[in-house]
Order: sequence, then C-alpha cells, then structure tokens
Amino acid sequence: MTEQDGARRRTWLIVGALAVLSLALVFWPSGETKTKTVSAPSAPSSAVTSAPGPAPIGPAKVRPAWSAAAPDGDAAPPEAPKTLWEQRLARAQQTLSAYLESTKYPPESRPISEKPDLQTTSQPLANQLPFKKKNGAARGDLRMKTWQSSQRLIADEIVTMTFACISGKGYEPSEFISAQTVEVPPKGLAATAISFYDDGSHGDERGGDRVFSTQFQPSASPQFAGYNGYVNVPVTLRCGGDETTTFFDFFYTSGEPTRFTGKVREVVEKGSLALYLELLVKKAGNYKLAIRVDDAEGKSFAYVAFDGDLAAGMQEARFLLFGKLIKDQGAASPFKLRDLDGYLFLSDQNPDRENLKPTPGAFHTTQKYGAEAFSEAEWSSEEKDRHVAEFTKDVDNAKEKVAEEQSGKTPKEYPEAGVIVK
Amino acid sequence: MGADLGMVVAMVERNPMKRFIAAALSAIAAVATLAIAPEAGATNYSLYICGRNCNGTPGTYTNFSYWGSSATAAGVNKKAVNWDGYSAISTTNSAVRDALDCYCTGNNFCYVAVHSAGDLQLGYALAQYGGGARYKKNATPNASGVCGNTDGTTQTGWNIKWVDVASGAGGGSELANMGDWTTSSPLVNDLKTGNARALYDHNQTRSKAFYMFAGASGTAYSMTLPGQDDEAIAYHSSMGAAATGSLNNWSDWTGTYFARTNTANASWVEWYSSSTTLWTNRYEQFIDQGESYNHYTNGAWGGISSPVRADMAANAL
Repeated sequence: MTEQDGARRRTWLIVGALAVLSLALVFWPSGETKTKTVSAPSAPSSAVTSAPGPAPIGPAKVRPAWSAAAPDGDAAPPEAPKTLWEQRLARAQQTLSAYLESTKYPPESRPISEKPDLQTTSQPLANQLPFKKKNGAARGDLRMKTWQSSQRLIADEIVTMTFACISGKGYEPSEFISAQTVEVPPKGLAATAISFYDDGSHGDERGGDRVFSTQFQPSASPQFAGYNGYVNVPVTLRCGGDETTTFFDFFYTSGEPTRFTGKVREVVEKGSLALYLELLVKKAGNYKLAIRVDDAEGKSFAYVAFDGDLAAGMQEARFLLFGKLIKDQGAASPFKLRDLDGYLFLSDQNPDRENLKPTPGAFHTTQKYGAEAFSEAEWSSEEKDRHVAEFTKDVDNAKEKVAEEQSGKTPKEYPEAGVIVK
Repeated sequence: MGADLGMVVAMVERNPMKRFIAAALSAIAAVATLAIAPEAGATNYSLYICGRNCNGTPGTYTNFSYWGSSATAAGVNKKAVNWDGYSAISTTNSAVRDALDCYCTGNNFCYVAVHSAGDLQLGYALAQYGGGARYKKNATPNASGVCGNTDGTTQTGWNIKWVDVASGAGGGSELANMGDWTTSSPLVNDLKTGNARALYDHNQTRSKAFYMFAGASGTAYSMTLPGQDDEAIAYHSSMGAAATGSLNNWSDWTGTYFARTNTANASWVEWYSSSTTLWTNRYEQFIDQGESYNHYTNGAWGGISSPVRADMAANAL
C-alpha cells in the first residue's frame, strides 16, 4: 500500500466514522427537548419591553432563603416520562389516583381545607387597581386601593366601602368628588348619590388619614325596592392633581327567599350524621346552601352543602356530615355548626340567584357521639363506580402499551417538539 | 368473519381434518371478535369550550374558527362548544350543558379543553349542575346542538376524564373591574374578579382534575393585571389561585411566587413556594417561564391554546 493509499484509506475511515456518528445523532432518541417545558418560539413581533409596573409599596422584597436550592429561569425540570405512552400512563395513573382520593367522601361533605375561599360566610373584597386619568392614561406613580366589607347584601344589611390613593410613599391626599349606585344591567332607575368621608364618621375609622369610607344601606334607597341583582358604584376623586374613577361592586337581594328558624334535628344515618335545618321557605325552588362544622376543640374540619328543591312553607334541608370525614379528621363531638349561607338558584336566568341572609358564627351545638357511631366506609355511588371503571381501563391500556414499547413489539413514539412532558 | 368461515366449513365438510381446522378457526375468530369488540357505543370525545368574544352559535360542533384549523390534531373526535362569548354565563351555560349531555353521558367519555371564559362556563356547569340527573344521550345532535336520549334513563353528572384550561378566567380579570372591556356586555360583569370568584364554588369540580396552562406574554396591561399576565388574564386566575394577588415567574422575584399546594403531583413547580393556595383539583401543567404565550388563539391555535392543543393531541385518545 502506498502512502497515498494509506491516506485515502484513513480519509474514508474518518468519513465513514463521521457518517455513522451523524446517523446516530439523527436517530438516537433525545430526552432533552422532552424535559423542557416549552421550546421558545420567537416572541410576537408586536412585543415591546414590559412597561415597569408601579414601585411596590413597602420595603423591597428579599429573595427567600428557601429559594437557595431552587433553579433559575428556564432550568429544566427533573426527568419526566420519555415516550408518549409513558406520558399517557402517568396521566392515567394520576387521573385514577386523584379521583379515588377525592371520592372517599361525597361531593357535598368535604374537608374544609378544600374550600380555602369559603371558610366563613364573610365575603369582604380588597382590590388594588391602576390610577387612570380622565383621558384613560394610567399614572405609574399612583394606585387605587379599595376595600368593601361584603360582596353580597341582603335585605337591610349595610356595606362599608373604603378607598385610598397610594404611592410609593404611602397614602396620598385625595379629594372625594362624587359617587352613585348603578344597576347592572341598567334598569333606568334613579341613581342614589353616595358620599365618602375622611372625618371619622360614616364608617371611617380615623379622620384625616387620607382613607375615605362610607356605609351604604340599599334598603334605605327607593332605587333598590324589590331589587335583586348586581350593583356598581363608580367613585370619582382627585389625587395628585388628577381626577380618576374607581369602582365597587356588590350583589343586592332586597327580599329573603327563605329564612333559617334556628332549629336543627340530628339523626345518625348509616354511620354519618344527618343534620336537618328547619327553614321557612317563602319562595319554592332549588336551593344551594352550605354550613361549616367545628369539632369539640373548636377546630374547623368540615364544609357541608345542601343542593335540592324545597317547597314553600316550613321545610327541612338535610346536610350530611359524612362518617369517614369525621373519622379521618379525628373530629370529636359535640360539633358546632356555624356560618350558614346560600341562595335560591334561578337556573338559566341573569341574575341567577336570590341570596339568603347568612347566619354568621355558631348557631347549633350537636349532641355528643361516641366514635363508634360513625362509619369508616368510603363513599360509594354509581357515578363513582362509572368513573373508576373507566379510569382503571385507561391505566391498564396504557400499561399494556408501555410494555409493548419496552419489549420492542411496537416502536417508541415521542411527543411533538415543545410539548410539555410531565 | 364467522359466516365466511362457516362457508369454508361447508366446502371442506368431506375432509375431517380440514373440518376440524375450519371449526377451530371459527372458534378463534369468534373469541377474537368478542375480545376486540368495544363496549357498545363507547366513544371518547374532546370538547373545546371557547371564551369571550367567541361569537359562536351553540350546537355548531364542527366550527373551530375560534380555535384554529379543524384539520389540526387536537384530541380524539374533537367538538367545538360555541356560545356568543358576550352574554352572562348563567344564560349561556345551557349550550355547554347540551354539549356535555351529547358527548359525555352513557358509555361515552370526554376530555375537555377550555379557554378564558370557557373556564367559567365549565366550572359553573360542574358546580351548579354536575350533581344532577342528566339524560344519557346518543351523540347525534340536531340543528340546535341537542342530542336525543338513548334509553330514557339518567345518570348523575357527566363523564369527564380531565380538563385542560388555557388561560382560564375562573378568577376574573382586573380589565373587567376597570371598565377596559365594554361594560354593556353581561359577560364582562361576570368577569370582574369579585363576581367571577363568587359565581360558584370553584372547588367543586365533581373530583375532576383541572390542568392549568398559564401564559405570561403580557405587556400592554401590566399596570392593571397584577403579576404575570398574558394581556387579558393574570396568573392568579390562569393558575387557579383561591385569591387574587400578584403571582410571578421564578425569574421575577420581586413579587409573590406562585406555589402549588395540591400535593397529588410532584413536579418541578414545587420548587416554588409562597402563601398562595389553589382551588381544589387544580394542577399547574404549564407555567410560561419564557413569557412566550399570550392570550389569543387568533383562529390559528395561537397563544396559550398552542400548548393546550398539543397536550390534548398527545393525551386525549
């Protein structure tokens, strides 16, 4: 072999090796893109640099200590299932296990921890909104802070509404100009003028603190006689030399479709505690009601709902405090029932409800029951069986497909580029 | 197949061996047919519920103009659940219930994808009607999108496997609070953050998982929408937080970090931590770290609907 032959051979060996390597790169399944949550498409051409938001009120936030070990920016998540069928199996298993966990108790008898926003009947509302001038332009140095004592009013109830104009330095001096109540949707009724105060009166906590308040009672206004629906309260004020309008909203029901008499009947039924609340029903229909339950030590543990039709007259609404829920929560009796609220549901209408006047706080203490009175049995129903059967079938099917992939019986498929793999 | 083999048996009946083989083949075919025959009428569907400004007609289940090309893969047997995207949730929800009755009862099951106010529509349907008796339907809609009954019996609620939520407006939008959207639309009143959150019990999904996809490519309304947003919906809504607030991506650490307190899933998102609590049965499936996805489908499977469509195509079988 001449030197040229040797060089030619080496060249072909190198070319061949490169070819093999290229083929390996093309066909070798890569896990990297499958673990990124998203491939980054180009940003929309209309994208502009984010306008900085208003400076946060208060001291600058310090990066929390717990974040030391956390990833930065677009760091890849931990290894996720790689093939499509592995992904589908994970989804199917999650669907089944989450459903089984959730359906230990019936839908109407839940741990109160599942209702983070429904812990009591109280429905205050706080908002922080931009300060928009009359021409619509927003001022970056000012924000409007609003707070109202409730989002729903019934009969003669009163709402306290509060606003303040704030900057990075705190509350700014403001001048109240005008406010009025507007029906939503408009009904053409004469609006009710409202005044806000910063003099320590009309619900204002402290005079001269640049925080304005008022107390409004819809039942005192002819505008709301016989009313049931949403109400909007636009408030115009001046702050920092500019006029702006901020808003409050609430739902007002002038009448009471039903009233709780205060009587409760208790019956242990099949290992659960049925609580029959007596109601004087003025308007027959579908009622959606809820109560909260505390145990003997005052620990809140259950949210129990009623959803059913009630005829007019003296009726009972049955609330079922599920036995397994009592057991799992370790709740000892006597139980305290508290915070009843709800509404007459007006299906397919707008507004779709007439609210009950809530019964805030504790209204009944049950008898004492031994632990043996309540059952450990999970909730069972046709609805649950139907879903469990289907979800189990999905898991079994996916397992079979994964096994076929792993045995080589079927080729492995991977999600399209950019698809989240979890 | 059994009949064909029967003819073969007749033709070879004079040959015992062949007769035996033919009989065996018939038996095998019969068993195979039984093994692979699906449960009578059992079909999976993928329902897509549109959002604000949908301008759709209820019952037009093949009209995907709000979303994108109907030829694009987006899950098995996909159906578009259209409504006007303007009127109140309470008065338009019947279109959603008709679709759920049509395709998610009897032996049929559904995967559901929702966008924007479609989140309110489905949440309202499940919370307000999901425990009621629903007629089992034949998945054959009339011109109004209503299907016929199968056997006249009912079942409790709908057969839904899980829900993908593209930038859900279940928590409302501050743009509605501020009057940035037309105030004559009854839907805009529903979309005010306080009203949206009080409209129904968001924790009551009949135990169905809601996978949340949140976009963060929002700039024009950053003064109004707290934390990350996709130009219409802030993270507190699109991730299903139980209270309004400013939630941010990891890289924007001047705000409150998004955290998931539902523990059914383990994922990298748990590296985040804050005091934010989600509504029950919410699982964050996609957080837009790259701030690449805005709110708008643009009739081309665009924006945050893109990863939802991909997830449905991959998992809705």
